[in-house]
Amino acid sequence: MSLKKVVISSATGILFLYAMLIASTFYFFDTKELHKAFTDERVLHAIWISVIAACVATIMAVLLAVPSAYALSRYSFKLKSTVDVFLELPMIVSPAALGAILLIFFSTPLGLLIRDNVLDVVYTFSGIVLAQFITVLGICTRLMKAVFDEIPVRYENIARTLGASPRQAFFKISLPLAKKGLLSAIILTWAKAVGEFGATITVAGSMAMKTETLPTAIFMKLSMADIKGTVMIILILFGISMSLLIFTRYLLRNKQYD
Amino acid sequence: MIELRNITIRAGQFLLENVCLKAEAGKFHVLLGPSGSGKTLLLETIAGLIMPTSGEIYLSEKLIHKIPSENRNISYLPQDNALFPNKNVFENIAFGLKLKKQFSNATIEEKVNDMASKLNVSHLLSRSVINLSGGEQQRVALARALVVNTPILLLDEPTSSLHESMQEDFCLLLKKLQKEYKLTVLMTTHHKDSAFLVADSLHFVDKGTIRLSANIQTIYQSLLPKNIAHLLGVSNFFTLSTANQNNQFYCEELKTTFAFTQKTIENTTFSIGVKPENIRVIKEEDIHNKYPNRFVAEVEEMLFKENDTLVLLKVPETSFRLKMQLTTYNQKKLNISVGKLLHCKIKEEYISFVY
Repeated sequence: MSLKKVVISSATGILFLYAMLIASTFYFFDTKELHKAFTDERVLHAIWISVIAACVATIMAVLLAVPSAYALSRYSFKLKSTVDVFLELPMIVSPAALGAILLIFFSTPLGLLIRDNVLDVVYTFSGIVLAQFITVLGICTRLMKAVFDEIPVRYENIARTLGASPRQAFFKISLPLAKKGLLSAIILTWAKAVGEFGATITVAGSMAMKTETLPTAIFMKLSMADIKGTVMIILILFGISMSLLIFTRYLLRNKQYD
Repeated sequence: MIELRNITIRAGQFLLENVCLKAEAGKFHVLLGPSGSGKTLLLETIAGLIMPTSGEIYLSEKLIHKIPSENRNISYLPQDNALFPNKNVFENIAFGLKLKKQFSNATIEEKVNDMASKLNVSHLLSRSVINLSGGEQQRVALARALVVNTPILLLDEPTSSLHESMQEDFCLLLKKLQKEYKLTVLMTTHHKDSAFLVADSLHFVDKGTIRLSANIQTIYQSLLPKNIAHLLGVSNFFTLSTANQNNQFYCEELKTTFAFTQKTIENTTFSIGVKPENIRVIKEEDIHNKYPNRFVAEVEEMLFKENDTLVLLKVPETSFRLKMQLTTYNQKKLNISVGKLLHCKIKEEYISFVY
């Protein structure tokens, strides 16, 4: 078999693998159950909590990731390679371990001080946001660094010779050029935050109508052997994520710098 | 005046070392050198985009090498033009003016329109820069650099991406604009013809240093390093040694004696170079006349260019080979063909001294 056929088979194999798994959920599809899921106050609350927490976590991550990614892309500084390694921490450490680390931190004197005087994150909505934020921060920064890496530094250099300060060159040239890529990174970060489970359940638990998100609701339904209920929530979560991915593709369909 | 004093720049493995340059204000200066010689690095350092490791840069006797790029008042046109791809032609040209915050929108529009008209890009103002041709992109980038009205313009290989037929026109446009705006221009190129079209003075960059600076009119009379002479189109090199006391020197390669009447030479052995077009054929009826600096060579091969013929000559006694270029019209008129023995001469004023 030619190399071309082998690699194309490999790529289409991935599609079939995921498609088969998704299709298998439809084996238990039931319109009545779907209607029930959309009218169930607990499920609606989980959707609401998931969406809001993911939005807050994404905003926090973006605020830190944009300047950090730009620094990693453009400048040489001490600890740069260490920062680069730590961006992968949420990818190499399991989410449950990350959640446990957060719980341990909030059990130290400093953590307790924060819980008593600033914000209590254990078994609260803030805990969900924090768990999602910690999980997505690294990937968000990594995605945004790749976006800035793609933009040639010569545009900023030319802007400088035309009278722009480094700040003006960033805001008037680099940021507008990065707009599409950054938006795509934001959407993927948000999708990752919505689907976060391990760290969230460890830090915030799964209290119905309080800290239950869509992924934790799936876990709870499954633990009660409610397969049809589980499938409906999976499909809701899948629908939200796929809509976002399609929207991202749509945004990036045109020329690079539109 | 732009003055570089002992500038050293390290960029990865590449080192520009102890570069000294004086570029007189209001003149067109060309940095000529092969690719990878450090010309672009030098321009970027003057523009403030790269910090030198050591040395000083003066602009009108003011030390500027620690001044940030945006405050140097130097425009820079990079090799690839670097037009902002998310802005249209008008926005690209207006970019520097908008930053100044001293002009109203109407003034900016007027200035952009004036400059666009000068560079013949008025019809492109609302177009995206992505769809422009190479020549159009170049003129838009030049308009963007000129409209901010800086006294110094740095041009990095501006003709390299242009079709041969457009290079000459663009050089003439550059020269015209330089005179009109009384600009001090520093242009890099590895293209000798472009350099000679525009330059008031030439600065040869080679292996990370400026090897020679010379006025365009006197360049061939300067003592030239061999590789620079080669860059200038000198491709025939000979060694001369003292023949007698009368300023005459013997050339072993050509088996002839050279006489110098315009210059007193103190060296006993030295090298000279001659461009192929400066070797002339002595007509058959004049063979018996006494010409200085003459030699005999056989036509070994002929290569035809558009209107010229490159003749490869071989000196029969030494098998030394040299190149001669003449118009195809003259080649036919003189009935030059392969195998023919030619009497050639080299005028003293066309001889370059090399080392």
